[in-house]
Amino acid sequence: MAKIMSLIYREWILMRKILLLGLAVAAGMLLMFSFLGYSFQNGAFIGNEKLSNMFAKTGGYFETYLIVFFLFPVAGSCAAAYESDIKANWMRYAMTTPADTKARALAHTLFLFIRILAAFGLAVIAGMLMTEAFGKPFTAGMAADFGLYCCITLIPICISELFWSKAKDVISYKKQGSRMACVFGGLGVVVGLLCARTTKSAGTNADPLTALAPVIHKYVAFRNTVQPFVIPVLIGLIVLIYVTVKRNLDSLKRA
Amino acid sequence: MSEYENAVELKGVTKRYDGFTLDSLSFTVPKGCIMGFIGQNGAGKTTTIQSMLNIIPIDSGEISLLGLDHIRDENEAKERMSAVFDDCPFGEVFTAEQIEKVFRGLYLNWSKSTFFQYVDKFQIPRKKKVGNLSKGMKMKLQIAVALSHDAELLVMDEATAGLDPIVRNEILDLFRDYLMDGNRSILMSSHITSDLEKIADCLTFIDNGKLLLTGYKDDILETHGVIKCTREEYKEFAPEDYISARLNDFGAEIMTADRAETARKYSGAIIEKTTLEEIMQFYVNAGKKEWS
Repeated sequence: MAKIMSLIYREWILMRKILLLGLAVAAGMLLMFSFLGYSFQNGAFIGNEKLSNMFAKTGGYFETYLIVFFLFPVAGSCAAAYESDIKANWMRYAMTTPADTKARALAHTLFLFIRILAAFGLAVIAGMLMTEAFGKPFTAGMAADFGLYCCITLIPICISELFWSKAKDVISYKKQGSRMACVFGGLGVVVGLLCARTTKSAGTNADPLTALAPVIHKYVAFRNTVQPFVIPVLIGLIVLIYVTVKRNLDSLKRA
Repeated sequence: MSEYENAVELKGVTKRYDGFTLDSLSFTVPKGCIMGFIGQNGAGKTTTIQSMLNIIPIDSGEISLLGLDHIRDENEAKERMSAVFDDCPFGEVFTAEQIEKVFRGLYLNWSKSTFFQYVDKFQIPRKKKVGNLSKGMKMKLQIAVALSHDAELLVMDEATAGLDPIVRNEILDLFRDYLMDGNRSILMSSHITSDLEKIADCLTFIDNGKLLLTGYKDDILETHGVIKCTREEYKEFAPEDYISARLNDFGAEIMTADRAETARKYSGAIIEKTTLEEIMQFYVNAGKKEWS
């Protein structure tokens, strides 16, 4: 247990800067949304019906933005830690310490879980503040949506772990980075094409909100369908990340 | 705690790469000794050390560290030993205080007071980030970590390369103190033979993945010698009586591995004492027999 705690502390030091920076950005966004919410409640948009309607429509999506801002550092911090470890050649040194691959993979995954829990806690607090600011219930929605966005965040983390934790030195790190960029690029193209196919039905002259409506509807339907499976999927993804990191750390020895 | 005679034992260790083979390497590091592990760049020193530490798997052979199998008892062996590399592995954002907190949980025998004694002795600022330390300071920090959990075996891979002579001497003095109790051993790979000449008790030479020479330093320096002679005199030497010969404009220098026997066989020859650097040069060229 002491080894795991030490390794978690080590990851915290490596990721601290980007996590705190992410928190500051999310806090800034929360402040901005809260200000907009209060302005909306105080009738700032009265007299501009179009803007007021648009704000009323889109206001509900602020919760999505906030969740994304809380989860973004969770994903981004992994990259910062790997880059630092590769530069310092930590992987090789770690193999000379009594911390075996199981302890290292477990500490890495546990810290990821702790970061997700922290992001969830912050999202709930942000939901409460937004509820106050907008005069609309946000907290329950944010808590319910968090699991889904968490799964969406964990999928790229899982893909990146598949590549990064295989890197032994700077050269292999760059090689794995290129492979990962290809995978994400390919996924981006597929998602883009699917969205384009869905929005095509709205016609070429439709305004952006109308064009996006089918995508949003499909997304809402998808969200409602997958909502009951979010927790098992989340646990499954975390286990998958552990297995991936452990397997890759073991493979470094066999290289 | 297991009793052992040799801190490190390698028996027929083989590791094959594309274009390089560590070829059935066998040597021992007796308990309480500093073993200098010498060879030119690419000789296989790092491959040997990484094999010992189970960083890379070996194809065949046996390795025991502190009397323990290097794979089966890996964690126990690593609890009782330390490795020091030529680059600092801690990450630029860490301070000495944070490094102490990390390693406190990794080693059962970790001593916080010993670590900070070394940190203070080396004048490493406790709150300064590793990224802002000099190369010498980073190396000292790595050594402070290595010596703070009562390690019985210290494995150093080119750790003093790139350091100035003053820092190198400080580190060598530290190792002498570390070995005082007689139960600790050091395996130190280096191509700076002058350092090893000062501190090593035993030496192992390797080249191109093959063992050239292993034994006690004093015995090696005592038995080896250089004969300086003319080219005509050189022709009288039988090839099996010397390691290799360096030919120059003035004549030849011949390295013998048995001064007493050479003196008896070639009574007129003047055999001078030699250095580790010369021994390394003559052994590396042993295949060619004649070189310049």
